[in-house]
Amino acid sequence: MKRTPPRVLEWILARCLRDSVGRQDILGDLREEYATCRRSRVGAWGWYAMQVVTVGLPYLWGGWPLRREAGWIGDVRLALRSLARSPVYTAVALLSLILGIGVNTAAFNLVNAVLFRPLPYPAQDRLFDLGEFHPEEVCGGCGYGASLETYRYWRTNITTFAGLAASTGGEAIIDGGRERTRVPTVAVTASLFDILGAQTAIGRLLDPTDELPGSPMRPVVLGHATWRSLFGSDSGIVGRSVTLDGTVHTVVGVLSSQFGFIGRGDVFVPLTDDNGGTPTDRSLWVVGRLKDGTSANQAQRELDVLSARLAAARPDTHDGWGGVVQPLRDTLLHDLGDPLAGYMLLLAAGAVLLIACANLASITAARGIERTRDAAVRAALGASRGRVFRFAIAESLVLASIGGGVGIAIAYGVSAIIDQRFGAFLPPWIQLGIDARLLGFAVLLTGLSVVIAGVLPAHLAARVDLTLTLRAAGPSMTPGRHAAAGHRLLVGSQIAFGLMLLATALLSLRQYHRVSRLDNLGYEPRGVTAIAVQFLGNAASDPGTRTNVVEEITARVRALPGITDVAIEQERFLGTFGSSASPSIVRVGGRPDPISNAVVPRHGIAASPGYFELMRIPLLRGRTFRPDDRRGGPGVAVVDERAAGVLWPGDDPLGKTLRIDDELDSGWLTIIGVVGTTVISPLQAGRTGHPRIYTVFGQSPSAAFDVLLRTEGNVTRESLLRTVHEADANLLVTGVSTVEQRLALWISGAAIIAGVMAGLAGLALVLTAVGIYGLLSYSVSTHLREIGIRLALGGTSRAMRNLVIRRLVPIFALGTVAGLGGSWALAQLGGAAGMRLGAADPAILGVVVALIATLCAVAAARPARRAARVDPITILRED
Amino acid sequence: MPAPTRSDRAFPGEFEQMVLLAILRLREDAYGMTLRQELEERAGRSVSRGALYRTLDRMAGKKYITWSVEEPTAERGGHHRRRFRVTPLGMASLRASRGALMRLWEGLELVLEERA
Repeated sequence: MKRTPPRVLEWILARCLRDSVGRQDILGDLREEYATCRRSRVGAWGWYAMQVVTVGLPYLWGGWPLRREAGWIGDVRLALRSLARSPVYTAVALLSLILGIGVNTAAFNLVNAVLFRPLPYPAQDRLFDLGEFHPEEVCGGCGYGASLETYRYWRTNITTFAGLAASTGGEAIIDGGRERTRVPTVAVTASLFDILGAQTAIGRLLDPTDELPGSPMRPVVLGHATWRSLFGSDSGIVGRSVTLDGTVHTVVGVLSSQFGFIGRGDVFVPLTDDNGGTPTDRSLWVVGRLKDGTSANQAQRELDVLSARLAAARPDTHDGWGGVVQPLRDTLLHDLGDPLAGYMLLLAAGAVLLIACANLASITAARGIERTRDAAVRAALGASRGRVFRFAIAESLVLASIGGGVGIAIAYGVSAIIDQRFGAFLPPWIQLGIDARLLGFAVLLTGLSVVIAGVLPAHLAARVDLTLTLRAAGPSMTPGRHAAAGHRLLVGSQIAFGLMLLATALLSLRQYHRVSRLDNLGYEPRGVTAIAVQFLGNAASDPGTRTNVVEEITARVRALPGITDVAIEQERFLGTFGSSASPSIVRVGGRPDPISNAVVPRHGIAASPGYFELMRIPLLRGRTFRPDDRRGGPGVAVVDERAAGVLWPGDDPLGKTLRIDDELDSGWLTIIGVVGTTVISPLQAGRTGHPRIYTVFGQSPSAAFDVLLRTEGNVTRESLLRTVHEADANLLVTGVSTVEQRLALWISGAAIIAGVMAGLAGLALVLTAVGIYGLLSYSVSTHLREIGIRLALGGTSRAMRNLVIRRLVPIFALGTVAGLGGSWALAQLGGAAGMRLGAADPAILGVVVALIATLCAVAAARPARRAARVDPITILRED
Repeated sequence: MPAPTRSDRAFPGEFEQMVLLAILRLREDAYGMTLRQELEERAGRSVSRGALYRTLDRMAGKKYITWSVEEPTAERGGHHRRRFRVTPLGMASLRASRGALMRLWEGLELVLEERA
């Protein structure tokens, strides 16, 4: 059988040739030649690939052979040759540009994905978030949702939205896949998939009939990631049963891999009366698509009217509650943190690019002045000023284009690494990757680099004075006053930017250090181990059984050798993001004018006796829980200082009563003690914290809980697991970790910021040192004659050394002042971004200035020594 | 032979002349592949396909050559083949070029031999 060329290559060649007259002829000829080609298979492939390049590309570019030596292409060719002749210069220049553009493109890639890219949903600018809010809410923007009742009222009556959908997140033990595990789940209305434009890979989406109370089957739709990881991408999954918290569900579909949900969760069940919460549980996330032609203001006005009507109809649960409409994008971004942090990252990366460009401009200018004679010769031969300018800029263009290309590749690599390593932590709607905006940004940076690094030196080259330059000899050739001033300005700005980055890096490192100490949290997380446990099956539904099992576990764990303290707390509270952020209504008893709708975030947690002692949370007044605070006994609660101040301002809370309306409904509780305020996140260390209400775990035990313990000596994980299972074999242990490990999630953010800033600052310092060294070396080279004369006239070596160092002093002073101002501004911005780096601390700034001064001294040492060792006789003889 | 006038087109370039001559030499057998072989054998220089095909297209544009299309064959993957011919204008330009060169050569043989 005759050999035919590889299809891909032939296709590429055909694309290159497009509809040129010789297209068929060329393809046919190459086919014939390929058939008779005696090379090996690989060799023949290589040969054909070569033909694609040599025959196809010229057609693509429309000019073969390239004869326009006089045009831009000629200049670029000359520039390439000239760069190849100076490998050191080329390497330094390329490295500066690649680092500068690469770091920036990578930073922009992240910021772009979060801040600028449209959400990956159809007509995303018409997606809005709807929620209820109450003016007396004390958690101050801790997040708002809507109750199922409100959602249904809105859905029936609202006219400004084309569709409304609701969802609420939870967790469930999933069984039926490769392993039994705990997964985040979402209860959604069928309309959500429609509004977000979701598609299935197999099967169907949820249907409105699935939400009806009497629905015979419990359908579940799996997200693509869960389908892949837990069910091995089994294509026969549809119709199979899986259990969620012991209840059998039927898989009806799998979502397409392109779909990223707006929140957490990858297992979707219908939102029904059972999982939609009580009328006062306002934890549903309501999203709507605005009708074409209506505005957000119109929608807000309609929601105001509807809320007023609902409050009139249901004053017991809706009095005082209003509705808020805001763009979905804003909600999603708000959850991620302040966008200023992103801009700060861009600023820092931008500073590195400026330093790199300043460096490049210095060495290009130095090279340019060395080559002034070359430019003068060209001008003397009749080249116009524009022509000389164009040639001079061509080199920068070539360098910057290569730098830009590699920069984009770096950005791509970084995004792949981030996707792989941190993808699971990123919200699913964030999609990293190269898009037109990123490419545009890289091209813009490249252009900017050309302008900064190329135009100034090129401008100097084009302004060359023929007679002077041609007459001048090597050592006496000094750059013009403007060129020298420009060069000094560049180095000064490098010092300023380097200083700013260093200051920010040190502040970030200090912040990381402060955060990682885990001090000032109001409790002592070090040395506490947490076992996350969950009840399964029937035991999960009976509070009495739960209490008994939990007491049994506590007793058994306490009996283990090496255990000093044991306590129980409501599920995964410490070191996680707290429990649900949705507010609970707290009713204060015995007050003539009860603020029945006062709201605290559900930071009330259930804990066992011994909890405060174990966590080292100080008792301020009253008492903590005792073993006789049991189920069936009088309900008791402990509040922290903050809650006491919010609920009973200026009054003693001891003996007062309150009631928390949530799913654990524990009835009226009497306050028995006041404890210190705690903050969960180390980033909040030293702050006021949220109001917290502690209830007795045994009085209203939840199905999932943490066993907390302090140990002396070694207690193995296995022995802990065994002990828990001895108490009840059906318990599922979902994790064993130290509280410190849980807190590491927050610290990792600070560590990443500190690491990135330190990396950028290190890079900036190296580049600045190179810049200073380049400036001084160059200054010495161009002033050899002056130095020689001074020495001949009796100047000492020491004086010459000082001469060099003196040149640096004003540059250093200028750079330092500008840098200090910049650091202050950056710290303000960082502070505004919630990074709390501490406004430019004088001690830190002192260290930074000292470091920069040392850097200058190190960089100046060699050029200064060289100036001191100049031999006047040699220099003056050359003149 | 009359001297070329200014109304004549510019002389064909060196490579164009070679290609025109190769077409004439191959007569009825002047295809892309054979032309390249002829140029490599006779002129002793390696010819890139890219350069050859572009030159052919350019000379067609100048009306120096023309071609007829042959039926596609399976060996060529269904692509047709062009058979090239030199047009009267191509012939005229070749003649003009040769005439100019001859006139320039006249009387220089001795000089060149001496230099050699």
